[in-house]
Order: sequence, then C-alpha cells, then structure tokens
Amino acid sequence: MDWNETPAELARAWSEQPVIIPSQSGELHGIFTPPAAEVSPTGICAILFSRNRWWCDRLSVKAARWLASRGFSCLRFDYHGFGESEGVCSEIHGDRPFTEDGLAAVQWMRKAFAQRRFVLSGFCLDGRTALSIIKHEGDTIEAVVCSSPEVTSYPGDVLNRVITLEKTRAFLLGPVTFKKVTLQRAVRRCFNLLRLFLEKRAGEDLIERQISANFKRDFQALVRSKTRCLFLQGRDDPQYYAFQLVERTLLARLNAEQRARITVEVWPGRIHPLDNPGTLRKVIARTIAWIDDCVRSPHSVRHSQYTSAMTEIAGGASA
Amino acid sequence: MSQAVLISNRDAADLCQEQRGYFPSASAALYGVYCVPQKYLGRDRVVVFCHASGIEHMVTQRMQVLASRKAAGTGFPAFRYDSRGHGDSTGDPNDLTFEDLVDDACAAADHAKAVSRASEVIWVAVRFGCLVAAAAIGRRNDGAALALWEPVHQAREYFRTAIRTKLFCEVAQGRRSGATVEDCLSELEARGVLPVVGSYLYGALWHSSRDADLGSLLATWKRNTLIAQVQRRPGLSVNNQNLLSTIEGRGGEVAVTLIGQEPSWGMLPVVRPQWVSQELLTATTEWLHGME
Repeated sequence: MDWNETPAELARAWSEQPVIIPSQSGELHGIFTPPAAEVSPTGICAILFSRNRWWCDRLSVKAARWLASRGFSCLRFDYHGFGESEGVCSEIHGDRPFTEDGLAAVQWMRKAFAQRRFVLSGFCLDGRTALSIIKHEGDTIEAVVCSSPEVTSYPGDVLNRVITLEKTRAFLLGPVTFKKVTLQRAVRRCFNLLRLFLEKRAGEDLIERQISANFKRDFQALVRSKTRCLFLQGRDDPQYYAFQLVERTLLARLNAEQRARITVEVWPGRIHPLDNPGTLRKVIARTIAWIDDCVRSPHSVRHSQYTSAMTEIAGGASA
Repeated sequence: MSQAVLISNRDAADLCQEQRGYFPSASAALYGVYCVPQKYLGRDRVVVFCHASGIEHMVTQRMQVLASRKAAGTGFPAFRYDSRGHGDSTGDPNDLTFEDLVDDACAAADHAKAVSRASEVIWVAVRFGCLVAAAAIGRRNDGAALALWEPVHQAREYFRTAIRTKLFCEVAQGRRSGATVEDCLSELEARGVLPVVGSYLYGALWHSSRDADLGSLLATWKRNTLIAQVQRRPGLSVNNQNLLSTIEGRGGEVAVTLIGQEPSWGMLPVVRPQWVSQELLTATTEWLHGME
C-alpha cells in the first residue's frame, strides 16, 4: 500500500466536512469524508473507530481518504472525553467498549447523511466497540473488522498461559527493569484470577468463563445477524491466546452458514503492541482492503474459515 | 475556511462557538478550529496554539482543545490547527521539514488574524511546537506574548527522547536489541526513517531541525512569556531557568508555573485517557488575563 498521500486522497481531504454528533455524553466531533464523485459509489458508509480520530500515526485519516476515493462514505470521530469531543473519560477498560458513542455515530450518519448500510472497523478496544454495535444495528451493518480484541474481562493472560517456558526464560534472562515490571504485573493478575475463580456463570466451565460476558453477548448478536466479520489476530499475542478460547467454544458451535460469515485471520508474530508502527500500518492496510473486497465481492461459504500466515500482507507494507 | 460550522461546547465550563474547517498552507489543506469568544477581552489579539509533534501531539491534543475553548470562553479569540502531516491535515510527514512547520504556523497565524480581525498573536506552544512558534515569531513582528508548555529546548533532545522511549518499550517487553540511541540516530540518517512508539521519526525533519535551539530562536524576544514546566521536579530545570533569566535580562516579563502531573510524553495513551491538567489550564487562563 502506498502510504504517501495520493492526489485522489488529497481531493477527498479538501471535501471533508466537520460534523457534530449528539450523544448521551455530549457532542462528539468527527469528520465526514464524502465518496469521490468520479468513481461509482458503493452505497456503504465506513465508520473507523479510534480513541481520537487520528490516534496512532493517523491511520484512520489515511483509511478514510483511501476508502472515500474508492466510493465509500467515511466517518471518523473522537470518543467522548477524547480529542475535540465533549464529556469526560475517566478510565479505559478493554472489556467496556464505547458502544453509546458508536451507536450515536451510526444513527447520526443515517439521519444527517441518509446512510443506510455500514461497515465498522477498529483495533483492540475500538474493534470491540465496532462489534458491540451489531446488537443494536445488526440489520444495517454489512461487515465488521475487529482486530486483536480483548475477549476476557480481565487484563493479562488466560489460565494456560500464566506461566510458560518462554516467560520463565525471558524473566530469568531479562534485565532488572523487565523483572520489576513482570513482578508488578504478576501481583495484579493474581487478584484478577481470584475474581475469576469466584465468579459463577451457569453452564460454563472455568475455561469458558474466561471469556467475558460482554464479548459473548456481542458475539451472539453477530451470529444472529447477517453481518460478515473479520477477526485479525497475531499468533503470538496474548489477545490471540485468549481468542483461542472463543475458537474452541463459541466458534466451534456455529453451523456452516454462521461460520461462513466469520473469518479469522492469524498473522505470524504479534500485531497488538502499539510500539510497532509498521505492523499497525499492515493491519490497517489489510482492514481497508478487506472492507473494499467484502463490499465488492458477493459472500459465499468459501470466503470464510481461517487464513493463516498472511506473509504476503504482513511483508507488504513499510514506512 | 471551508465547511465552517458553529457549535457550542458545554464542557469547556464557559460557552464558546467554534468554526471548524480547512485552510491552505502552501499546497496543503490544514485543519483548523477558530474558537469565537462570547465577549472580546483579547484587545486586538488572537491566541494561536502551536502543537507538539509525533506521539506527543496525541498526548497533548486534548489539553490544547480544552485550553483554546477556555481562552475563548473567557474572552480571548483562539485558534488551533494541525500542521501538514499531523492530525486531520493533509501532507506526508516523511518529507516534512522544520521550515514547513514554521510556514504552517505562520499560515495559521495569518488565518487566525484574518478571522478574528486581531493585529497581534499570543502564541501558546507545546513541546516541539515551542521551537516552531519561536521560529515563527522570529519571522514576524506581531508576537504579543508566548506561553511555553514544557518546552523542548533543543530539537536534538526531542529525537533522542523519542528513541529512548522506544528502547525502553523494547526492554519492558523482554526484548533487548543492544542498540544505543546513537545507533538509532545513525539508522535514521541512513534510512531516512526510524520507527518509534506508535509513529515514525523522519530524516527530513531530523536534518532540518536538529540544530534548532529555543534560546537562539528567541534571541531578541522580550515580551510577556509564560514558562509552564510540566515535570515531577520541584524547581525549574536548568534550561527553563536560563531561558527565564535571559528574557528577564532583556526586560521581558516572565511568569512561571510548575505542573507536577507529568504525562508519559512519548507513550501512546492506551490504557489511560488523554492527558488533562486542570492546573495548567487555570495557569494559562490566568496568565492571559494577567496581561489585560
């Protein structure tokens, strides 16, 4: 993907319109990017969720202009308490998505810009936000990209990854700073695990109980809807270790039609650490390419299932 | 300004209206927001916010938004903008130079003066933006006052700090590349780009700004100045103390505020919301009013 700004994207930028979205938390500020007039419109509005609307290397800005130059209407906006939006955000929790803000955005795009069909995307918490909208707006959501989401209700590793050989080796051989950070994390996680043991959920064993109730609710809404979904994961991310619980339980129970709408793509290595901007670019490149392809190509069962080792994509983008 | 809209912002504690849209600088479209005061106390002056760079822009953006609204809410017209390659503006950061940033600051000041009909500019600059604002002041003769929020005194140090943060993150994840800051700077020189936390450092900005020094850029500055140090230390840093002494020595009036609540400048605010310091907002607003 060309990360330099193209003339078509520059043209889209000049046509962008600041918007104000009313929400329960106050006014949310965003930017609407209309589709390019010179290409056939897709009739789809892409909403790109991120904390503030150019969070982390301005990937949502690039994505919005790229998609708009290919016929999508696009919206990026600041969550309440972020960027230019009103309200206060006092804490962030991976299992508590910004659903109300996301819903307000969808409803506002319908009301103010007559948008009827949507695709939603986000990374980590923002992916969870995208997923959480389906429960309320399932009929209008064509597709969702949910990259490296947290699926547990507590931070840290799942039970079978609490202590591993690699971790022990890294701890023993790591510098003192790393040892300190690791020990602090370990103490915090002991409390989280204790809470997990004490939690009771009918019909769920300890393995399944690790998946958060919020995620399960949003996942079931996805299953009931007609929405297509891409889960993008990094094989060595703790988020993927947790997602494997979803694969073993929730995904395994789906019928062929339901399963065909859900794609799980697992890349080598890690995609979650935000200190690697190159990987983040690859994730967003894959996200918008999938959205573009998803809208243009009809859905069939063979589009689904797992895609592993996406090396041609993982190696295809650079600064 | 294209697509301007009027809005109200209730959480600014004070009501203000905003005009948001794009304005030109060279061939770029820069995103800018003009905060209209309900009543004018600014006496022919407009406050222009000059933002930080890279991840620090992300960290400090909310503070700029709140401060510009607070300024307007209490009577000062205010303007904030994104330079090319930053925020919602156009432009590629990989060929962005220090001169480009200064050009954008000047274009923003011109635009702010045009929409507010002010004749002088009060600059409020953040981190690397302090160097940009200082260079812009040197090009113009309309600078009325300057607030420096945790100023970067030497551009070179900004790059070194970003690299140190990257190396620290690697260690925190159990990776130790063995590379030093000097090694990384050599890589930046050779490749023209260096990944750091959540963003990139680019050779064009490094080459064009590495010798920039705040004291030199403000060599003749002697107007109202606020130094807002945002550090855990109890007293002024040596750099800030030297700057204060130099400006006062020229007859300038310098106010100082020490903010102890320091954000992680070079880290993405992943598990925490964006940085907000009520103390700094209050200090800046009081400084503005103190000039009336």
